[in-house]
Amino acid sequence: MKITAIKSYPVRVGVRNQLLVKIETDQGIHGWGESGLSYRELAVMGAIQHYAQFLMGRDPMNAGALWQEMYRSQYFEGGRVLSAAIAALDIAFHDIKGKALGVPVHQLLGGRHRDRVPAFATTSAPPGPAMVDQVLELAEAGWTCVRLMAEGQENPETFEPRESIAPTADWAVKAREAIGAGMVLGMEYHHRLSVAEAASFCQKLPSGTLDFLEEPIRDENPSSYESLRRMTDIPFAIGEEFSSKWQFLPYLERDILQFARIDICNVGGFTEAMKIAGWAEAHYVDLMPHNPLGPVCTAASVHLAAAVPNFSWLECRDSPAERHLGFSPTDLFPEQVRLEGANYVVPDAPGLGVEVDEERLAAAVFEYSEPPHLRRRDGSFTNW
Amino acid sequence: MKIASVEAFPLRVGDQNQLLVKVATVCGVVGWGESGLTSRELAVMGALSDLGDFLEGRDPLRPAVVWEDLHLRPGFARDRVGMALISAVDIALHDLAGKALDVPVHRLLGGARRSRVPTFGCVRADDTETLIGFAQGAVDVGWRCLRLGWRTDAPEIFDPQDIITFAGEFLPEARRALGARITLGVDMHHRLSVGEAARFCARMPAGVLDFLEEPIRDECPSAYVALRRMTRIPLAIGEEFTSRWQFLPYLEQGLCDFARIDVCNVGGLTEAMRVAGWCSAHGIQVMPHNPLGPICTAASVHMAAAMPNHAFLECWETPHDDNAARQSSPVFRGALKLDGADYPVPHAPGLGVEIDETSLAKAPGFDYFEMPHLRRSDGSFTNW
Repeated sequence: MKITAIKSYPVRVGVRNQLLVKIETDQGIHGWGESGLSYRELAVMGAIQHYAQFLMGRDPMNAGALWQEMYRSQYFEGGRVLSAAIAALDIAFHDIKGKALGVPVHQLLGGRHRDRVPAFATTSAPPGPAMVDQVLELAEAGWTCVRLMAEGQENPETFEPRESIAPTADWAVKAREAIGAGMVLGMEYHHRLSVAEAASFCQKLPSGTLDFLEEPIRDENPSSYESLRRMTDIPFAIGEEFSSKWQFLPYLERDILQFARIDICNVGGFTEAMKIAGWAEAHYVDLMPHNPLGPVCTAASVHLAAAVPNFSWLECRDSPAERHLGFSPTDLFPEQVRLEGANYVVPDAPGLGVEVDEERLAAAVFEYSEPPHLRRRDGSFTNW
Repeated sequence: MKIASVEAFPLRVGDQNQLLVKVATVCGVVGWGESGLTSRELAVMGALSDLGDFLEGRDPLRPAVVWEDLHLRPGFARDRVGMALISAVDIALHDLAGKALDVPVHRLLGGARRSRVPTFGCVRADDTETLIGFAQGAVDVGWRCLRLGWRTDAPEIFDPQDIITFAGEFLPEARRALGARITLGVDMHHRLSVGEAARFCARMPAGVLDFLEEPIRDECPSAYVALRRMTRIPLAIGEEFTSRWQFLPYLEQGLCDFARIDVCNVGGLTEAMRVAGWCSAHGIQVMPHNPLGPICTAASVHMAAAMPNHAFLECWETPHDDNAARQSSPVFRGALKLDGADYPVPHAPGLGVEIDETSLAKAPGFDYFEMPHLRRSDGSFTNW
């Protein structure tokens, strides 16, 4: 089988752009992939243009070797943009392989360990009574794991960490009181705190309030996380930003993270994700995959989740609390992985099990967008 | 003063593409930078397009603030493509600020600590006799530090044993021929495994080799810890690093004896000076990577002039190497000129290199270009 065309579609879907990639072959089989570097879609398309120069005529059945060629046959290896490009292509190769062999992708990865993939929901209301109501409503609808968002998450201009941690801690306690001990509750801080601020936040919470804390601090220096790890007993969920096994390496080998937030559309696709999953299992760490994009990312994540033993919950942005995001429209994606209550049903169709309406896709548009440029009150920049 | 526009200009010079970035201001002062992600220029240009008009209206005289804002954008931190863009913008802002304030760039970095910047000369040939002849020629015109290597990559197959054997032969010969006073290095371009690198080092008689550059891939610092225990040869590492955080484990664990900072990839002068500062805290010398064009060379010279711990700047303008062609194009007016084996530190405002925009408009444009896709003799891919 030979690759005959690689097409990139950067399109606005709901509140975000999605970068979908279609690979065509001389056998008439095509595959879809998605790239996860939100806000940097044009950079990833530039990288795909370079890769397309040598991928024409190659056999997509050799996905593992093509991964090596894309990663290593260049001046410098690795990095977010290049890995996000490789991710989309690797996912599309797997879609093609599954279709060519008449099997779902999870079967190419060793077979499914589970029939349903449990998902977690995220509250859209900021800390306050509405957030607590959402938790109760989600529990009613069958969700057993809910992630809360810290105060100030949606601020357009200013983020002052010390003004966020006190109310966030208060409302986490109130949510726990309202829902009881059975629900798994997490908190997302989107790497906006320093080590000291994160320690103060954790220490304002009675033990047992939160079951996981996601990305309290920036992750470029594992030693900073090690320092924070010694200052709290809340499990950490880290890894959505990592773009290779080497970035996971210190976090796994030094037992800094307790849930691996692997993002298949950024880490380098199935080929890289399965290697990380194996090493996470060696450290008794469960995957909690990042899944903030569209139906292709969701399908790839479901196949990955089905094919590993060490799995907890998959992020879901289609819960009753977040229907406004609009990431999975059925006109653009007529065939999708099915969400039943709080679980995705593992598909049996060949490949990923996603169909895309290419005509509609070609007619859709890309819209420039920048997330807020947050500043502290003194005017200095801080993380979004 | 306000930024009016930021534009990318990819052009062909010698055997490679160079990606120049121009920052223009409302009042007419312009600055030029160069981006270092060779062979993935379209991805860097895509990253600039992703920013839209983000940089317009900002104050060009505060490069560190622009740096911070860019670095905090999603997808930029720790990414090769994003950091290659930030590097070019940061260099251009320094050029611009120097011109606006009528001072050479090194003055903005604390001032020149030396009047001349010593270089190491790159010398290549495919047989020992020619190589030593070329090396002697370089010594005769003034070089005191040389990096020796092979000229031609086998078109497709790379067998590590071939270079282990060849370098094992030419290095002791070169040491005998050139004497003890010449500093001698070799670059393995991250093509060996730890075991292969140890085998190479074991063949080197003590005192022959003064630095071994990139024997292995660098994404796993603990692999370097293992190699560090197996040889006493000083290691030169870092041309691939795209931020201070990638240098961090290498500096803090004592794995790197010469820091190969690449100003066009690490994040420009702003980030390079931070890395150099932490190197000096560890007693490590900087040996900047400089494989691009005259803008990169000029930025590297200003940086090297301004840091206390500079050793040797990479230089391809040795008597017999055709890569010197990367420095010569009518586009560059006032490119820095070697004096013997040193670059005299320039005193003109900014970087001291002017871009002739008429020549630029007529210069050969971008042309797809791939590094060789090397394989082991069993057909598996290995690094270029």
